Amino acid sequence: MEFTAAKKDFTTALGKAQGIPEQKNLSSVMANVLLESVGTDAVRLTAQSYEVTLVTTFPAKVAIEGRMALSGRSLFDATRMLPDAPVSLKGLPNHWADLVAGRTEYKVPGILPDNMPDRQEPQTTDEVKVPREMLLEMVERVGFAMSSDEGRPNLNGIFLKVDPLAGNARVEAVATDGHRLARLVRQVGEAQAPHAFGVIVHRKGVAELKRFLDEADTEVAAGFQRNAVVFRVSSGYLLVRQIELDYPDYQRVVPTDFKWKFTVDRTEFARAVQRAAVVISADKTPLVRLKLEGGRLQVLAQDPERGDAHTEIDIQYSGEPLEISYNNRYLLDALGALPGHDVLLSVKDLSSATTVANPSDEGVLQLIMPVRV
Amino acid sequence: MDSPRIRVLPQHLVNQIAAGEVVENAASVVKELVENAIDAGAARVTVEAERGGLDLVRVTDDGCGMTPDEAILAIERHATSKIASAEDLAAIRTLGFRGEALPSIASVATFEMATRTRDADAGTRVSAAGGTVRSEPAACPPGTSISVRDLFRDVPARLKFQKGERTQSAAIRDVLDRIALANPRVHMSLISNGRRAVEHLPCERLADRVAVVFGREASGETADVAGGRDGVRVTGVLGEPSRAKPDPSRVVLLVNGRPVFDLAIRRAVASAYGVLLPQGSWPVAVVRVDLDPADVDVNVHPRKSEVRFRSPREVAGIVFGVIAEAVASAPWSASTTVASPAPAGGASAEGRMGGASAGGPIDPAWTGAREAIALPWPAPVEAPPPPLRDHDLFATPVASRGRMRFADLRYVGQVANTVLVCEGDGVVVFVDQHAAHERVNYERLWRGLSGGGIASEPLMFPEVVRLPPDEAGRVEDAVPSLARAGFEVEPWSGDSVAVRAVPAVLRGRSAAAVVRECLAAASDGSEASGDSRIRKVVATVACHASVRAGDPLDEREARALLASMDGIDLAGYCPHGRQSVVVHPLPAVLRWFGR
Ligand SMILES: Nc1ncnc2c1ncn2[C@@H]1O[C@H](COP(=O)(O)OP(=O)(O)O)[C@@H](O)[C@H]1O
Ligand SMILES: [Mg+2]
Repeated sequence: MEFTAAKKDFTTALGKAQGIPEQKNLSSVMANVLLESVGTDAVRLTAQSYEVTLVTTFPAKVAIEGRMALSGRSLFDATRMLPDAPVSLKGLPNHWADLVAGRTEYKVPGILPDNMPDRQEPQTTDEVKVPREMLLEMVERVGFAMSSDEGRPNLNGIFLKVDPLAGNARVEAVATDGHRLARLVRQVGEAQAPHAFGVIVHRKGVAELKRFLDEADTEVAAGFQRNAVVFRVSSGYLLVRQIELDYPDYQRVVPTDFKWKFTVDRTEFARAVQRAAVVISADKTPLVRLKLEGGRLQVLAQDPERGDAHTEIDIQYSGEPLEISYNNRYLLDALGALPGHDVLLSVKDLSSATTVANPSDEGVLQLIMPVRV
Repeated sequence: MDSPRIRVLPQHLVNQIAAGEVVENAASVVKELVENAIDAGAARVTVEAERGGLDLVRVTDDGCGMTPDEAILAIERHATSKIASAEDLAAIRTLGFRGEALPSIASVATFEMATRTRDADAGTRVSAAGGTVRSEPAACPPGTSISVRDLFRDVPARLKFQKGERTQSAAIRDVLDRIALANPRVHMSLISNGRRAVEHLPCERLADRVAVVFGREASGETADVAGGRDGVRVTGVLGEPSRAKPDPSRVVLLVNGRPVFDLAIRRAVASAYGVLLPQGSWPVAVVRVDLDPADVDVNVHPRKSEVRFRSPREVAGIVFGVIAEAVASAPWSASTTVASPAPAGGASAEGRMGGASAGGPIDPAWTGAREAIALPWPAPVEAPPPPLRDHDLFATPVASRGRMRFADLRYVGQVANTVLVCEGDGVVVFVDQHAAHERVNYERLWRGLSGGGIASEPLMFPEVVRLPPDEAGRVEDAVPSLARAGFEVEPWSGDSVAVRAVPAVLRGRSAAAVVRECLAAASDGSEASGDSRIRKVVATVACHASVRAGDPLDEREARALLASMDGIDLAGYCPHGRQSVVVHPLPAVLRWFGR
């Protein structure tokens, strides 16, 4: 096989794949990516791991049709250093390949392409069109709350739920690690989904989704099949294994009646939390205490070994005083993942989750559990 | 047909049964009799044994002796002059106290005793055989001599299981050696089959007794240990690590003068040698721990060979700290490398040169190393003053040195995502990130507990945790200890519990594993006190809350951990007996490369 491609097309395609192949065990077939000619003017790249399959096609001039399986690591490293010039890749008899751009040449190791596992082809039944922006929002505003604790496998991903409405659909994305929860709700157009369904998208796929959406179409078709979710754009698809477990009943923990509610400048609040938290040693669970009283919000932290911090913000508040503590990391993550100038914190009691939200965008909701000290 | 009746056993039979626990073989007879001699204040104890002690054990001492009445009483069960009340039992200073050795021995052998108090004109002879006791006046020197003949002759079941003569003799020797180490000033001899087998002359210093008991060849150059705190005094003698052998019995532990076995302390001793000691090898070491008798229970085992400390962790930690300090300043410390132990001759020569007391000029390379490995543990109570070295122009002034602070170390990096490597003043310091963090967290939690309590984080979704069936039944008991540690746990169904809140330190880790372990810790050992339960629970939480081996740490996290270690006592000791800090003198490291 032999082809030539524009440097940008080639690097974009490889960029989407770089998180997928096996990086630790380089002798695994999964450490390789597959390149196949599609007619004479395109090349299809396939990268696979146990959880994720990526297929993306890029324009290329194919001189000799065929396929190659090349070491992902070597390809990524070489591609990063390529000079600005068209890239050509030519198979060598020992399954290696010659990668040439301008006056730079790499020899890239490879294996017999037949040894690559079969590609997972999408067989979706239900599909819904989702704006690329919403998927990016999902990764950023929700993804951080996923659990990476293997002891809780059903939390190791984003729960994606689609409810068909008249003509369109409501899409909800939720992630939680049992201490905090993030939820994004958006209306989207065109669902070919006859019924509501929900899947848990594996965390490995969530990380890849962001790269996959880099330089992609503005609209993505999210398709659902028995064991996977497929995100499809015109150039290819990302297939992510589903976690086939029950997602916890999170609706139950979203509190409704609140005793305390206050709005605060989001950045100012985040900065106050950061200021207070510097006294806490990085090897500790960082706790910050909020004291709400009259027209001010005090943010306090203390570390018996490193001292106390106290900072305050003026706010408009005249309700009941409140004193409550949080893990400052959860608080900062939640503040960082919200859009808008202000945040609204609503507290029901000291043992229910606190909601942290954007007062003018109800679509994004963050929940964090207070800590009892 | 007669139905079996409950009946009171004849005293002789009771004694025989008790003997099963106290008198296992000839060596245990020797142990009991020699201990009695020591308790009687003897300056000289002679043991005679024939045919491995099975034919005869005779122990003769020059102690206080007994009056005729006392002598008869002594072979009655539970007759003891050593304790009178329950308070005494809680604070035992003598080796014996159960008052069952003599009657037990007399019930399984032919027993004869000649004894005389110092101020009496005549002595007493008491003999006992087959349950009858006879006593008569006799002429004998002051002190006591007890002969035990034909051990187990009337107890065939026991006799059958007795090992051969050699094994018995070796065991007797061993018993005698251990007691000799505990009492260096007592002259002790063993005459075996008429031949003098052991002659331990009285010694002023434990080190000299160690030298004769183990031989200088086995111990190598020794270092003295002295230190302690919080009412625990640790003294002893440490042998050279390069002479270590895979024989743990070379580490002798004496608690309030009693030779005992204690795995945790033995491990703490080995840990304190750190990298100097190859895995699985043991140096000669005699470690004496003296503490308030009320803080240690010696009445755990009929043969009194084990003790139970009120706070075993603390004691092991103190032992570790004191010994680590002694190891650091031992003559061989700076001259031994892990890769290739220095040849014996060279090592001790160099060691002597590095010794603080050496009168001649001191090689600055050595003093530099010696000085710098001042360890981060609290200085021993009686730390020797730093040597005067006014002729050493290039050494850093002693005053500016003080204890090593982890926060001041230069962080070099993380190895295997497990060990933090740092460089200090003339030392390379290795820190096991998990063990260290566990110690730090344990101290913090413990402080939290005695302060305002441990921060608890309610879970969004209560986790249901299945338990092994035998544990499920004990949940109720464990709930209060768990609650103090920040858990909110309640019985769910048959064999599972619902976890509603966890200690906030757990940093979002799944509750299942830690709850299971904590429940096991909290319901462990019904007689364990609430305090020791909560300690176990806290230790379990600390372990789970800590970074693990294999967790990559960035520099900021690594530095934070190092800085936290400064506030912590016993930073070097992990409750699992694992080492958390190893300090290598830089010269020793450089010497690996011949520099
Ligand atoms: N060698 C000895 N010298 C003086 N008194 C002795 C000697 N051996 C035993 N005794 C006395 O006999 C008592 C009983 O001894 P023993 O049965 O070993 O019990 P214990 O040592 O536990 O008190 C001792 O308490 C002590 O008063
Ligand atoms: Mg006794």
